[in-house]
Amino acid sequence: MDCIQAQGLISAALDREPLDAALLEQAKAHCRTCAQCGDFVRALTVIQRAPLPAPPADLPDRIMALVRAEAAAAEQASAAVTEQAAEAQALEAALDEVAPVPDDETDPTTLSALEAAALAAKARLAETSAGSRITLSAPKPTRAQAIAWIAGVAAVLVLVVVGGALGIMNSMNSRAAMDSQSAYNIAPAESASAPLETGQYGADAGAPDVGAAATSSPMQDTLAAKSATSTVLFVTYGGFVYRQAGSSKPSLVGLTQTGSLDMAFSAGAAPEMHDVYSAQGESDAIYIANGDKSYERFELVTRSYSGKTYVLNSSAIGTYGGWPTLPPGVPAPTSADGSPVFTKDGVDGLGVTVYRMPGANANAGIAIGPGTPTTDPVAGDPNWTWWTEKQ
Amino acid sequence: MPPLTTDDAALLAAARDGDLGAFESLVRAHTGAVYAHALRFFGDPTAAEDVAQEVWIKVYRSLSSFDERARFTTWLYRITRNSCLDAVRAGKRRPVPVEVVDTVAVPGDLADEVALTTSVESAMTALQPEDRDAFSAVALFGLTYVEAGEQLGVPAGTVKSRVFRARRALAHVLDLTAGGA
Repeated sequence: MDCIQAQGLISAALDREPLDAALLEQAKAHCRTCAQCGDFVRALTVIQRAPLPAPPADLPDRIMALVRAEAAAAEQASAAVTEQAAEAQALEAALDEVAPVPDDETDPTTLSALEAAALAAKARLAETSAGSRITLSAPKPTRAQAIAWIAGVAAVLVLVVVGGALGIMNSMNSRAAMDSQSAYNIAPAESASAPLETGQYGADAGAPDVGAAATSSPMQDTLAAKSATSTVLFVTYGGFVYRQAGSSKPSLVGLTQTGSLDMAFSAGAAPEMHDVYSAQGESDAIYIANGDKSYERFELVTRSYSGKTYVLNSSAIGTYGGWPTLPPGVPAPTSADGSPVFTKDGVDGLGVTVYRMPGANANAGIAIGPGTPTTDPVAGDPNWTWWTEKQ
Repeated sequence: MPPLTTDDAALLAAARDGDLGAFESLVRAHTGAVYAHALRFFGDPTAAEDVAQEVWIKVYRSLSSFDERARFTTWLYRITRNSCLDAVRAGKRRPVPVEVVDTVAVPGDLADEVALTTSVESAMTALQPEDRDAFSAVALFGLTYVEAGEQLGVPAGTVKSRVFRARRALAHVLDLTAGGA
């Protein structure tokens, strides 16, 4: 056994790697008699014995203070969602209570009060929970009965009340408009406005129902087509999103490896590890090895707002054609207006509404809702996205 | 090398259920490794502190996405390494340059832990980045060669070679003549 072999075995043994016991004994015996290997073993002893450089004593406390603040913020956001869900549930229950047919069906006073209460409840329900819109798009039998009852009695009233027919019809038209605006989906299927809004800002914000879009408006069709899968290849590296830039390098010259990435270059291909490189002078781009001789260029996805540049953060994009999503720790809003997670901050140069965390300013990061125009850096993304200021 | 916490999985499970005390235990058990990796990467205590804080916030935010089949330290190493690389890529920090170090004296009294640490850390600056990376994965975070290879994107045999090369370089640089090792 030579020195290199002996030292290699001793090194591997320190790392608790499984070794042949007899070989290890030979290595130890060699080190006992070889001065050079003896020094090597003594050096390893010193290295093992040396304590790690100690972080400041209060570092764990500072870390935990940050974590607790993060936890409190998440809890607050969660509580807001729970509160809204509870309110929505209570309103829904109230609506069900309002629905039963009164004893005196022809009493216009009773009818008016019931209708007003029902409509108010609907409006509040739609305002407080976008998620409820989806749930309510398939009304429960009790609500359907109530609506049928309201429509029936309204028709009777039209016939009965002399001279008031026109006024009542106007009133009903107003209510229909309210239903449509609040996306309370009791309108017939061909009423496009409510499903469109649901498609844009549904609580789940997932892939829209393309089948349903077939019977909807052209705007819906466009939205659904954009939302299916991305035609641009996005990857997440170091938490930041890069998009394929359409050019590549034929060799490694000028590139330095910075890590690796689990991703696929084509649809249907299984994700696999690819080496990631950076090039000098190209701080906003990475190159990803595609095979042995091609290095595909990906550019950092950025946007401008209030004179600052923001970079897109996202959870890992698992598959080819996947869209950027909110990063871990940033919950998705439940409403089209970003609440309760985000609040409106302003509008950027593209006319896109920009949101921020409540109680924070845009320096802490900005959020963008789904359904952005085609000029947007992530046009067609059906998800909310989160952007942080470029350092 | 810090003792490996044997109940990381239990602490992690509790932390995922919202137990901040369990999370704090993980922080206290492993911040030394995170800080040491960052310090060796940047050579700057302030940068190392910043990265350590960033790493744990990322860990906290990602608790729900942690693959329970993996080992916590493997995950922690990946986040730590990526955080260092991200800071460089974002232009916020520069990695410590590799220094040509002839020898570093080992203190005569090995019980002088502060002096001993200073000597070893000085010797670390002589390591090539890829060797230091592999050494960090194995010696600081306790990864196996296979686990480290998966994180670094190289075969386990390459990790073994890099760790061995790192140890030989350290042994070469550390001047044991003054010490009693």
